[in-house]
Amino acid sequence: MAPEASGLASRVVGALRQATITGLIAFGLLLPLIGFNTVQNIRNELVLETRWPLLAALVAIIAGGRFLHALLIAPWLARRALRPQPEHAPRVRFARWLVPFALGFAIIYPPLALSITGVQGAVKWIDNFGVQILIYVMLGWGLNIVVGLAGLLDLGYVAFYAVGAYSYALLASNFGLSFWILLPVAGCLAAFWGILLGFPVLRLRGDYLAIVTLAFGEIIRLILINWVPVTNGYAGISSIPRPTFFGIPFNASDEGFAARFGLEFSPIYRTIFLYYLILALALITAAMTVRLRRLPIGRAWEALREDEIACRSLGINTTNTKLTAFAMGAMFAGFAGSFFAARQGFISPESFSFMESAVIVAIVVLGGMGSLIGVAIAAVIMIGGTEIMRELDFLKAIFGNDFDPTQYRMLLFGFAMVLIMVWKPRGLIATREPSTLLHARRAALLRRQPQSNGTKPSLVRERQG
Amino acid sequence: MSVASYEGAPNGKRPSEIARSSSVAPVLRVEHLSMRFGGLVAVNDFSFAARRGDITALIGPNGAGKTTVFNCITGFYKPSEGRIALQFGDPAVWEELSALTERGTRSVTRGDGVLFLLERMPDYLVAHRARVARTFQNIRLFQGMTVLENLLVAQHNALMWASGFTVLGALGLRSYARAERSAIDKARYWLDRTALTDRADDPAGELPYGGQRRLEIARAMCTDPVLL
Repeated sequence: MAPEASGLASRVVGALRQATITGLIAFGLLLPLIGFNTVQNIRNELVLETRWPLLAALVAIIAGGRFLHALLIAPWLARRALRPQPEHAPRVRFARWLVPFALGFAIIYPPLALSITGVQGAVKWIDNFGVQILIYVMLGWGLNIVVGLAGLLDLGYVAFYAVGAYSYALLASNFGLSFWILLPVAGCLAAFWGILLGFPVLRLRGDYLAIVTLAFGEIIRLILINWVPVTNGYAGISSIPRPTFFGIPFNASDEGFAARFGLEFSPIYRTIFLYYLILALALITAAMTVRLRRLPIGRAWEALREDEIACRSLGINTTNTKLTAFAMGAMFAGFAGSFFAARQGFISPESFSFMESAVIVAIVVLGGMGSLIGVAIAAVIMIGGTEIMRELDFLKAIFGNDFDPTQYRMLLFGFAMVLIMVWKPRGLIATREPSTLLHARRAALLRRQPQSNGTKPSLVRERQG
Repeated sequence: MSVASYEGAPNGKRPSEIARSSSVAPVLRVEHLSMRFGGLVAVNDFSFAARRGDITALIGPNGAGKTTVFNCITGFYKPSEGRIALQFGDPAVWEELSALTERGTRSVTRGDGVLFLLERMPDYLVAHRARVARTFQNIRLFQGMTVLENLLVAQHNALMWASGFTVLGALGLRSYARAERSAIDKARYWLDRTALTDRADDPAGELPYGGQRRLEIARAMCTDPVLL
C-alpha cells in the first residue's frame, strides 16, 4: 500500500500548495476591501478601523474551499469526465414532460396561491412572483429572437421596453385611449424605434454592436430624464390608467368588475387578470418564435448567427434580415413595456436602467441562446430568486437584525453565473431542435427506442461552438 | 473545358486572359479588372471570359490574386477598375453592353436575355438577381444547423416570396407549405447527388471534411446558379 499512501500524500501536498496560493491572492485582494474600514465618528472625522478577524475568517474559508476542491472535487470531476457520456435521450423526454407541466402549473398558479395563502397573501404571491417573473420571461423570449436566433448582442434592449411603457403611459393619460388599442400601438412604436436604431448600427458586428446598443439604451434613458415637459423627468408619470376587463374597470364602483359579476370587491381580481394577461402575451411571444423558426426568415436569422458572409453569398439581404430580427424583438419589448406601465400605474426612468438590460441578457445567456425553455427556467431562477430573497427573514436570526438578504442579491447572482458558466458553458439548455427534418419518421422511431439499437437520435445534439 | 491560366509577371500579380472563344457567347466577361488595396495592387488589368457549360479554371501561385478576382466577381469587393458583365437567357443582349455601361444602371433586359454589370451590385444581389453562386476557400457552412436546413437557407429568396415575406407563412397558408415541400424536394435531389441523404438531419459541423465540401457545393447549387 506504500504507493497509494505516497500518492495520497503528494495529493495533499499539492492541494495545500494550491490552497496557500489561493489564500495569498485572497488576502491581497481582501486586505483593502475588508481588512480596513473607514467610518465617520460623531465629529464627522474619518476613522480607520481594522477588521482582522473578519479578514482572517474569509481568507481561511477561501483557502479551505480551494483545499477541498483540489483534494476531492477536482479528482472526482476528472473521473467523471472519463466516464462515457450518457445519451441525450433522457433530456428529450424530460423536456417533453416539462413543457406541459410548466404550462399547466402556470395556468393553475393563481387559484393555487389563492387557496394556500388566502386573499391577502395571494396578491403578493401572484404579483411579485407570477407577474414579475412572467414579464421577464416575455422580455427574455423577445430578446432571444435578437440574441439567441439572429446572434446580435443587444445590450440596450430595455430601451424598447421603455418606449413601450412610455407610449402607453403618455397616450393613455393624455388622450384617454384604452389599453387594448395602445398595446399594439406600443408594440409598433417600439418596433419602429428598433428599425430606426437598426439602420445605422446593424453594419457593425459583435462587440461594436453591443457597445452601440448599450449607448442607445442610455440615450433613451437620458431623454426620459431630461425631456421634462413630456416625460416629467425623474418624477415619472403617475396615475396611468389601469387596464380594464374588456371595458369593465376593476374598481369598487357599481360599474366595476366585482359588482358586475356579483363578487365582493377585492384587488385580487385585477392581479389575477394581469397575471393571465401577461401569461397570454408571453405565450404569444413563444408561439411566434416557434412559428418564425420554421419559416425562411427564422432560418435566415439562425444562418446569420452562424455565418454572415455565407448568407450574403446565398443572396440573403443581411441588413433586412437583421432589421426584422431587431424590430421583432423590439416589438415584444414594447408589448411587455406597455403591460408594465399598465400594471404599475407609475413609471419613471429608474425602471429602465442598464441593470435591467443586463438582467435580461443574463437570462438569455444563462438559459441557453435560442432555447425557449431554458430562457423561461433562467427567468424563474433569476427573478424568482431575487423575490425569494425578500422572504428569507429567518436569516436575520443567524446573522443578526441588521442583515438584509436583498443586499447580497448581486453577490449570489455572480455566484450563480460563475457556477453555470463552469457547469454548462452554453447555458442551461444548449440543445437545438432542427426546424425541419428529412427523415422525420426515422427520427421519431429512434426517439422512441434510443437504447435498443444504440444509435444516437439525430433530433437533439449539443450545439457546436 | 477551357482553362484560363496566367503568365506570371515578375511581381506575380498579373493574371491575364487566354480563353476566349468566339463560337459560343460567354456567360461571364471580365474586362480590365484591377483591384488595389491602398498601395498594394492585387489584380492588375485582368480580362477573361467564361462560356456557358464550361468549367473555367483560374490558376496561379499563392498571392497571385485568384481569390481577389472571385471576390470581385461575387461582389464581396468593389473592383478599383474594370467591368464584370454576366448574361443569361438570350445572348443577343450582349449588344447592350456599352449602352448599359454608359447609362450607369445595374442591368438591362432584352427579350429573355438579361445582362448584369456585377461591379455595380452589392454582394447579396449578385447572388440573388445575377445568380452567381460560390463556395469558399475555407468552408463556410452553417455549422450548427442541419444539412437539410443549410440547403433550405440557400433557397431563402424563393421561400421568402412563397411565404409572402413571412406574413402569409406565419398565418399558415397552404401555398407556403407547398413551396417548402418543393424546396425540400430540391434539397433532396442535391443531397442524393452529393451522397449526403443519410446525414440530412445531422448538424453540418459534424460531417467529415469531404462531406462538408460536398454540402457547400450542394448549397451553392440549390440557388439555381448560372455561374458557380
